[in-house]
Amino acid sequence: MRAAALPLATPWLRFAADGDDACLLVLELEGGNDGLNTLIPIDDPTYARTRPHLSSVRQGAHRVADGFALHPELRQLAASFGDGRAAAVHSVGYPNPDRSHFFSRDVWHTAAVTPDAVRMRATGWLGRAADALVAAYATPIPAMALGSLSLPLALRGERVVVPVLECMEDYALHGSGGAGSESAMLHAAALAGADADELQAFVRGVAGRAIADAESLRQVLAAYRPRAEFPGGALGDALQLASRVLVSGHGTRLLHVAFSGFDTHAQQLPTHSQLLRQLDLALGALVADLSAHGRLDRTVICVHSEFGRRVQENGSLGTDHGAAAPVFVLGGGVRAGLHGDAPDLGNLDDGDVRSRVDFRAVYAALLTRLGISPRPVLQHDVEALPLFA
Amino acid sequence: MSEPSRSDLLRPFIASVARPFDLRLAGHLARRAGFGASLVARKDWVERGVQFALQQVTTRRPEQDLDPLLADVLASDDIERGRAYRLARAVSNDCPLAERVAMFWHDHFATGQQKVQSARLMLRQLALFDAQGLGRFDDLLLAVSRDPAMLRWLDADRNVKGRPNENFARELFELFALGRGAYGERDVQEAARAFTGWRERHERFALLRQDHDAGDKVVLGVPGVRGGEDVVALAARLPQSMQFLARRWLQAFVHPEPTAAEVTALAAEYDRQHRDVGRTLGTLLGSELFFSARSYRSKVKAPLDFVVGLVRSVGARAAPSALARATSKLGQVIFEPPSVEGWPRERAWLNSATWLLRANFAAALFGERDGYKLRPGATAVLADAATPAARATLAIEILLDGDASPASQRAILEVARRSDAPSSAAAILHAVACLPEAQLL
Repeated sequence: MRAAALPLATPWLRFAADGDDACLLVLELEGGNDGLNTLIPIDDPTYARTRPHLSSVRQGAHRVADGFALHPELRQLAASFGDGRAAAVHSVGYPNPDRSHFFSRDVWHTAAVTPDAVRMRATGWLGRAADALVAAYATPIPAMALGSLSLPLALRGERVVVPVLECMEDYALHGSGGAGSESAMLHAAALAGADADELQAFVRGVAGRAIADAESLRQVLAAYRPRAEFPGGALGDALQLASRVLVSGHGTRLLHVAFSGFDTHAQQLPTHSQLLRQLDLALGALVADLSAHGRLDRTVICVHSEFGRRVQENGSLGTDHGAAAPVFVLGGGVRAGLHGDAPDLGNLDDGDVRSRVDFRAVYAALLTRLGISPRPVLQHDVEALPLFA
Repeated sequence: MSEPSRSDLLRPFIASVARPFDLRLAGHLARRAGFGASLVARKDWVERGVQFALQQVTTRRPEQDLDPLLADVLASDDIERGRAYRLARAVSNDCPLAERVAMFWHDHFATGQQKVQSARLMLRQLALFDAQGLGRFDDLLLAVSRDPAMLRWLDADRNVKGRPNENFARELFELFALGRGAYGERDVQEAARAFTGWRERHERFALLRQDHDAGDKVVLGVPGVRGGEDVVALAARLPQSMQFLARRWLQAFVHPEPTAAEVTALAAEYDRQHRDVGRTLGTLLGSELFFSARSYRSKVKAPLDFVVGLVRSVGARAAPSALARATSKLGQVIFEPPSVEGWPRERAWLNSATWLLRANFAAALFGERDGYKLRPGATAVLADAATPAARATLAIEILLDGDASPASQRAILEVARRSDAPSSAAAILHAVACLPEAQLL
């Protein structure tokens, strides 16, 4: 057995030997992605009527199911639907939708049910899931935020402080001469301090774990070679980092990546196309890389936004803040195709797509797939959407 | 009637042969009352004594060169530049306590840019703490209640007559003035009525008469309350408020877990000082309790303490924007407290990722990479030291007031012996910054 051959293995390695180690990557499209121009109701006359200009994206769109097509830039995502690896859930939202970016984002991040609980911003759903993983497996770093500078609320837990990594080099001890110049003497300093001082013992413990984790992570990650070409740019870099972490299988099971710019109030067509192009290239590379490493079956990717956009296009060739929108789920074990009730453009909620699936039901499905009991994380009984086989 | 006497716990610290005001205590004062000080300044304090040192940290001087920078940042309305401005102040301000206290209030009244959506208003809230943070708490609390960023942060625009929104009133009691248990739900509802119509209009405070509920309210057992200013005055006078603030100050300046007796003693002092924050903290910083063994290195440095502390200790020069970025990366994003309860505290700051980031920040700073530049003198004194032992001793003086455990001294001596000039100074200072002692405030 591998673990027995490595008696000094750090928790990173030890964890890799544990049973079901499915991982979740949440990719958040910040600003309110236009769901109707992403998963397009291509045959709906109301769609064409309410969006006389913006409905031009039907040209070249990729049909993935009866009546629905993906935006022309989403080529690889469409291919994933064809391969039976991708699903979309229609009309995901929550009751009494709030059109403020700030508040709606907090609703999705906290998964709290009452507005007061949302405003407290105490913990996030992935942070609570990370707490559960630590309690069950004592994994040191169950979750990471990638490619951003500050910790998203979703990842704030009670017990776990989730690290934020801009790049992998952050997770190594450098010497004053730069990366790669650290030395055993530096380790000795980090592990010195006064024996009898309890607070110094705590710091020493953290430092010792950091050095050990960094070393084992370095070894594990050194073996990683990309098997797909990632596009440049912040999203490509973040998803390649995600792939490294996921392929390495060192115990980090929850990842969050944010991709911003979706607040398309004016001149939406070129901006939105450009964003979806970046998304498709980066996501396609991630799927290809995970697949080539044999890791895709144990990875679930969820793509969502804080809300969709108004059905009627506005006077500036853009769209304003809306309500429900599709959520995309890719990866291992997913029941491919479209789930939930398609948006009914003849029956709107104050001009917006009506929510028909509570996002917490999607969360519950994702948590169940990870082997984490949804009840303590979501703090309510939520029936999981049957997204996985 | 005679003045009530000061509690014995807060009796002034008096240096003696047995307990001299030495480099250790000078460093303790520099770290806690501000964000550290250069070795030259600390040695000067030791030379001239504790009273001089206390005067140095508490005396306010005009912020001559930063005002044009502020005007520029306000005009840009750029939050990153705003962060850089606060870092520039923390590094260069000659009144350490004012700076420390401004950040204390930023944590206490935790308001976030993500919702306020105005760098200008966030900077103006901090400027309010700069100006009034050491004044009477009653005045500060009223000013904060009318601060445009706070009005946005806690949904003042939703608080109207007939449909009161309790957000601000609840936080006022729970987090700003009283603490849980000192008020009831009814008090929150009544207080919310008193704040109806308090609004931010064109980045200023405005009272909208048509939205204001002018009727009588009963708040905290007191009838006849009309406006929000009555609620603020009422809350600030309560003994529970004095206890609540005393505990926060003790946690911030003395020890993470103050005793009940310490809280009572400081609350009484605050009362005796007519709720003047600056005088109360002056008493605290000059006390035996502050300089006690229980207080010394009993706290964990927050990212701002660590980053600014290293820079000030060695007299480094660095682009404030780079320091702001470093502080954010270590988890403390100024103007973006993670919740209404402010930032995590003490041990919550440290995990294996943030420890590595701290160590790597020190590596970049002392290795003069990533745009960091040390003042020539800082490394020259180390290079001038004749022996490895002298270099190790000096580095421990610069960053740790000469106070490191035997194991730490051995580890640093080993680094000094093995590393050659010219990289020697950087390697030694970096190793000292990696010692467990260097994470403690």
